[in-house]
Amino acid sequence: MNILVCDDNQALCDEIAHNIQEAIGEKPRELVGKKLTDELTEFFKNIKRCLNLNAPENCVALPASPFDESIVILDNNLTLLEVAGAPLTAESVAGYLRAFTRADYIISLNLNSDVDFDLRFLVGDYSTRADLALNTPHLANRALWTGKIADAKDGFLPWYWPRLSSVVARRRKQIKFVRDHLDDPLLPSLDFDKARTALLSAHALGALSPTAELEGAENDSVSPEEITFSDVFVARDRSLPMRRERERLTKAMDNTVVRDIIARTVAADIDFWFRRDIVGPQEPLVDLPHLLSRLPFLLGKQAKYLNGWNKFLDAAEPPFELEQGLYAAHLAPAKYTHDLWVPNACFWWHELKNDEKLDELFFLAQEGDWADVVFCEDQSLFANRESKIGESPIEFPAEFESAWGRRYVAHVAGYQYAPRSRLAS
Amino acid sequence: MTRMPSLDVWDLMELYARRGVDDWIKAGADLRRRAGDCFSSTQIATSHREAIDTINAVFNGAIRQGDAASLAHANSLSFIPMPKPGRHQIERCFFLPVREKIGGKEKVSFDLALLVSGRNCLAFRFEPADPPTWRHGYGHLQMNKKMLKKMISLGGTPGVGVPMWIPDSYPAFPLSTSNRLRMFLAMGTAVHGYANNGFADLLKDIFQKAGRTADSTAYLAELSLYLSGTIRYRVDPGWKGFKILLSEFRQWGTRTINRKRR
Repeated sequence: MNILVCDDNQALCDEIAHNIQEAIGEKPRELVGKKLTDELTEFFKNIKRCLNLNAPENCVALPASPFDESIVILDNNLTLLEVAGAPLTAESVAGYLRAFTRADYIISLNLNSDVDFDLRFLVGDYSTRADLALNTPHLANRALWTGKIADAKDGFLPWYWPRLSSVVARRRKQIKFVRDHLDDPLLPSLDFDKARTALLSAHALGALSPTAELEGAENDSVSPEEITFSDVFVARDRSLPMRRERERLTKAMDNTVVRDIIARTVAADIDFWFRRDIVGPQEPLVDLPHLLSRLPFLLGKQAKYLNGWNKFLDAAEPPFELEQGLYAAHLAPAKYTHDLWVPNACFWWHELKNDEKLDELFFLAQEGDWADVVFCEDQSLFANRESKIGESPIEFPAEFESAWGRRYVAHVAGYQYAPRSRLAS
Repeated sequence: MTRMPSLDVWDLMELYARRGVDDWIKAGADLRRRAGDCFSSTQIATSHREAIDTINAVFNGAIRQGDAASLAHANSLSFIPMPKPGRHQIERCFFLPVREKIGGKEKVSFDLALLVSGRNCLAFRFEPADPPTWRHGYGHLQMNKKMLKKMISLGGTPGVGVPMWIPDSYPAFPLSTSNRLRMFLAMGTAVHGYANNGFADLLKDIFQKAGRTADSTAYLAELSLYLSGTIRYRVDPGWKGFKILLSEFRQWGTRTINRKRR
């Protein structure tokens, strides 16, 4: 995996590189200080050629740049770089790097160094323009790269962390998907039919288009089923902040360079949309640990014991340690097929909820058939709700619009959970 | 190992109230205005905190009309919206747990207010048994004109709230229980029904949404036990339903054989 670390300070950059090496045994490339200033200056000069064009159809591919890496890690504080104008931050350059380089995945580092676990939306930092916001110490946690609990430093492994070892391959697939569907309606392309679309929260719809309405009352209302991938490019400003520039680019979609820019941008936006508005709220899709929380009988007799609940975490392929017949008959048909958009296997919750057979199995359970466990979002593990040794998991209400916002954390010592007020709610 | 959950009516009520409040804050302005007209001075909980505070409020002594402390207590409470009922004629329901500590012992009853349609309401109270020698010496359900031991009026003007001609001592239907959890289960079943998107499904749902699905089994079993004899196959949560089915099948077989013999 090619990783580039960018910082204005050599010592801090070395620390970041050291943490990565500690976790995965590979030393990333570094771009620091004056060299970084020069590369960014050249980069912004080049993209202006494309953005300022009155004829974006003439936009040509940018020359190869050192930012064309699989993962680009930008320290948020770039104030020591000697650039003209306002001081730079990772947030001010991440979107442009995404759109105009071949960087696959961009991480903003130390945007909010006081926060290790996001209790609000379970995405890290929802405000970042990068793909993910992390802090320097997180990079030394091998589990961030592998997704394996056994690798988790101090047992800390937020379920919302993407596996960094797989994000590049997934992002490339996402970009290809968007490029192939750029003019198509987004929600139907992602298998959201009318009934499933109706289950999206107001925020989820609003994030795709500011004028999307289920039952549009205004003249300029857009039916959610009609929103195209290119509409999302115009609506969202995480990568390119100027709407006029985005609109101009959409007028030149025959140009393969422009098409690529839009695909890269929209792929990142939709990936974030899934994390913030679908996987975080666990509705209308539900992933395996949250599904087991709702339908424990899927675990069969294993549901009696805590260990049985955590077995599935090692299972990457269907039927995920679940009973084969039950999985094939009921879960497999409800599995979300566009795996590239979700970090883990997901299922259409309402289809499972309305499955009469599953409902019958639920009501056949007797007291004591299921261990009283909860899923700890900060450890990616089930734990007893009331622990006999040590602290019990803490319940908190996440902030998204969902009926499934009551979650639990083990509250690992030495890590900051924010906003802390949510732990007391 | 499996921990057997202990049944805790206050815990259950809190989860139920959270769902009710969530549904209520999504209610349309017209419904909220009409409810406000009926409940007049008593507020309806619009946050989990208000509902939970009401659930946890215990009055030290017997609540009495005209007593300043009782009045202050009544003013601190909020009607708790119940989860939106499924398809039936009642628009929205609200409840109020009435907790009094009398002689060191807590007495719990429940007031239930129904906004049926327009500004037309009905009200009930689920009460534990009075002393055995009294006429209401059994857990019972009565109609109500005023709530919270007659402290709170529900409307009172013609066409708003509970009609004043409603009798509020009789009929006093036996509930077969004075147990606070069972009275609450009775109230929930009365409002939501049992299966097919009824109270059993709601119990399942609220525990699922709390991330504590395992706890639902104990409450479903308790509900089944309380209602046993009225439950049939496919709607009975647990093995008891299956046993009832077997028993019914045996009875049907015996009846059929006897009929043929005749």
